[in-house]
Amino acid sequence: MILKPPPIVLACLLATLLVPAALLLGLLSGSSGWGWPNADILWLIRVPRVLAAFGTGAALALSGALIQLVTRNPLGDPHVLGVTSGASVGALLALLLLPAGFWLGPEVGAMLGALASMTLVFSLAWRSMGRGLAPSAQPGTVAVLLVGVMVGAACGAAVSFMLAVANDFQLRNIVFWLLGDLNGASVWWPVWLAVAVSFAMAWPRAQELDWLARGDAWAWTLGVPVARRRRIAILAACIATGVAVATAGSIGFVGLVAPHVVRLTGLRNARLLLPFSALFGGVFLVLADTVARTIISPAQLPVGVISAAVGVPLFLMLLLRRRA
Amino acid sequence: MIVHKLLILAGVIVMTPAQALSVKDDAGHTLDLPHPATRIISLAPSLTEMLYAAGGGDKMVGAVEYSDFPPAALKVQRIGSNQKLDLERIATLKPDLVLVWYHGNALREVERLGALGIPMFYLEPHTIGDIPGALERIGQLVGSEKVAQDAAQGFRARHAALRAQYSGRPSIKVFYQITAQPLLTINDKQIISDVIRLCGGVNVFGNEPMLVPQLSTESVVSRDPDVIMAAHVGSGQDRARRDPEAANVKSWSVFTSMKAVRTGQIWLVPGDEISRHGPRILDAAQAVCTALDSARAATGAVK
Repeated sequence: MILKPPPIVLACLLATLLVPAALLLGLLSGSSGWGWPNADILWLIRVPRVLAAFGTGAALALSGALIQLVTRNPLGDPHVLGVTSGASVGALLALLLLPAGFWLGPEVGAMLGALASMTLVFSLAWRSMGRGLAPSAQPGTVAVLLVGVMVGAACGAAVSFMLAVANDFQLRNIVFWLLGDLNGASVWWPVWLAVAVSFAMAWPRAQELDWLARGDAWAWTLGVPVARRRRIAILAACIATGVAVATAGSIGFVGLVAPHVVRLTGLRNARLLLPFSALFGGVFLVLADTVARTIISPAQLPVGVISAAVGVPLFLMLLLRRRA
Repeated sequence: MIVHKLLILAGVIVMTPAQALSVKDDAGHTLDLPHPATRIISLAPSLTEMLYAAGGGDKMVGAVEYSDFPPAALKVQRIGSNQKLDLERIATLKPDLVLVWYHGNALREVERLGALGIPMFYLEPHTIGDIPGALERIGQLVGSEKVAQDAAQGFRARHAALRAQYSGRPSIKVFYQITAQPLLTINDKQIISDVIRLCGGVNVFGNEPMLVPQLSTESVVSRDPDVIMAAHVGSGQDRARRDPEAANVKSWSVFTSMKAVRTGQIWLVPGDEISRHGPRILDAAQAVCTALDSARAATGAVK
């Protein structure tokens, strides 16, 4: 136990250093050059975009960490619950059905879509989420994952259908939702609020999530209300993901990798894993977006390209070094 | 060698019956037809417009979605959309000429048509100046050279008149927005940039390497254009009232550090006319030139 502190201390130091550094770097760089820009560019473009990037990264990473914990699946990420695809369907429906130019139509649509797919997953998997103590029953974690994947597949088909019937003008807007882009993110605060809410839902009982990750029977003997804990954690993950997609479209990769990177640095228990995953996800997406909007400026790349190009080698390096 | 081949080719043309023809397309292929085409399918709205302008409209048996000009084209049977062609329907219409928008249509599907032995003619005008030549070649293929030549001459004369009137005016910086989300513009190789140039404007992203670059909002603000321009959906001026692009392009007005915003130079131009590489592009050019002239007056470039 005495040997435990170092990774925490190191992580705290890194976080207090990296978070302001990343935010500052994001604010000081842009396609119009390095340094302090004029007031218009700073307040109307860079500040909202950097804040939206940080919030989105934090929300996706937090949600990924929660899902990995309660489903006991290292491949868990916000996409597996079908929430991302549900949000895409909602956004696209809003684009197709509302009069074009409707203010925040797609954003609200994404929120409603996330909520709908979430309700669907919950109502289908509600009972099995508490199951798993009896050896004959199908474990609750598997049921949630399967239902999530099925809802995701249904949403994927719905997206394909809408792509087929959309006209040219709608098509270009749709692509934005499918690729993810922070340039269009003008409203940054809802995603911060979502991170705060879902953190408040999950973190106070983080210890119990750890026990849950070891197995339902283990957690149950320690007095954890297995079903309730799992439902609350998944609800928290869904809220964070839904708002993140509504803010910036569907951005992959951060939710899967951020919790793993944090775990590989030695912060394995949920009380630390959750906040540091969120911080790492935020920093990571701010940096990736900064590169995406400056590297071929004035043109820009989709942020997913950068996050994968930097994240995959980083992740593999950490993983292999640990093995050695 | 090449001269030799050309001489032989010329000989062939002279010696075969007067009806047979051989015309070169924009993909570099030479299309040989035994007689002028009588059953024609157009795979782009702009090509439909060109076919009508070249005098072959009455021979059209199939048209791609959005072929809505001239109004007569609305009655022609649809054969799918630009990217999703109904190959079976095209085959049953037994066309003897298909006009293809080179790089605009899904080439994989178009190649399947080629495998069916249907004669195809690829067109892709890059500049305004390419359009009359395309009209004349379509005229040859459908046997209405006279109508096509008249149309081409009229087009050239109008183009020259616009150039004489506007291209020498004081230059003015223009940002042209294709869509707001994603934020797209065009470089100088695109025909819209040619329209802007014709009117004495300078495309602020003209030197970008990509034909349709995706931009960050910041890059537009920092280039500080004199005029912001976008196309509204549809054609003519009548639809501007409830137009999606109207709201999109107005969203620039929060950036008061931009000259275009301070002087109120945010313009919508007719969408179908400017984005189709067809004969009506000069109507769009007239609208753009008028807009840029008002902008010059407003920004004080012209006393």
